[in-house]
Amino acid sequence: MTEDVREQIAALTPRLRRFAWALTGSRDEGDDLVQAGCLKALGALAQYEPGTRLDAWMFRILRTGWIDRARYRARRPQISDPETLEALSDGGVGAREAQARLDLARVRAMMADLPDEQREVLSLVAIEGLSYREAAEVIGAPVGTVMSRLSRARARLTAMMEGEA
Amino acid sequence: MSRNWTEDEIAAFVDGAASDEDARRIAALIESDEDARATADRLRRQNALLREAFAAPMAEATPLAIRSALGAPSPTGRAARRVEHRSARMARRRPPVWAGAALAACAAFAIGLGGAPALLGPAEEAGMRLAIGSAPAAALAALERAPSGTDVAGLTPLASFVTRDGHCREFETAGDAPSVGLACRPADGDWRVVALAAVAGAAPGADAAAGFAPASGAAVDALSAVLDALEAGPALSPAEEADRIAAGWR
Repeated sequence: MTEDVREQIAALTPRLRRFAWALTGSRDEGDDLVQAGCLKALGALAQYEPGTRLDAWMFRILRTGWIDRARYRARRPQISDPETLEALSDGGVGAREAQARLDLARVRAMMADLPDEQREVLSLVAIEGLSYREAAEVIGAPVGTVMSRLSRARARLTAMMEGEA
Repeated sequence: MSRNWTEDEIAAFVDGAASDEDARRIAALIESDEDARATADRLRRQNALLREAFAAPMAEATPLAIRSALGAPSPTGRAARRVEHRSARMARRRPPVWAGAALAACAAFAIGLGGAPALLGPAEEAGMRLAIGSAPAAALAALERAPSGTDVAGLTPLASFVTRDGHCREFETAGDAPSVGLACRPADGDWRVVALAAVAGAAPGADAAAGFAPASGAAVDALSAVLDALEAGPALSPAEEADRIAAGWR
């Protein structure tokens, strides 16, 4: 059973890395978070209830790890990836084929600009496809809170996107 | 002008979070109300853009540090160990030998090239019930997007190759009657299973009864012959494979 869950977590790592990236705004920091989260999960396998969603359980562990880290360090600038900095400072002169990549980098920069509590619900619902209730369980808040945070996150994204267009 | 819907209702619909009753009402609204439709489109675009912006890890091999964290001796599971072992061999396929795999020793391949599949093995007993021909929907996600060594819904790609007509992936399926095989797709086509072997290590007697000659050499030659016929190159590196996945195998 332990071996099973271990393998299931291994199979989830692409999604865990995606979520951690969206959450932290940095690939390196996201991978660090996933690595620490995997260790934590393996040490706490007894707490996982078979039959419940393993991805949601892992997202909860990653999120807790992220909050713990944030607590123990001075808040870093939210934008830390060179790629993102480049996207922000870019005067729009990038080569034509780089345009799409740049647009996506801008989306990531906008995501990094959202308050943490909005970014996490947007990641869980829009990217990871969790239901509102599952997202609520991951962040330990009522469904209504998930909905209002989603709503504010989207309004903000829309404003940023329209501001750019 | 008052409207009889809110953006949150449309969002819940787009997120698949609306109740059945609400979903029917919003679906009808989107048909009839231009503003509602524009809102739904904007939210869908936003969701898609977010998914795309963070999609890269989905097509990448898991970094070593994370695999290690998941623990030796099984960094990403049993399948991954086999991948490393076998892909390395596939990368230098001459002489084509799969050593050490109980799998190869007891495998009998069913080969189908072109439109005339010749079934040589109990393919219909495979875990995912794969057969020579179009890959079933259940297998498509794994073939299309999973990095080698990653199990998706019971199918684990093992290695990827560039061929004359497009790409092929060697895979294995999990289940009571596991199988290994080869699936290929042209740049503009769908995945088709072109070779399949039941892994019957648990019941060697069954093979004999069914009339196979489960010689490892035969199985290896068979897969090798298929890859040769397709003018396959050596197995792609994880980075090359990630590029192909990202490009949708085009």
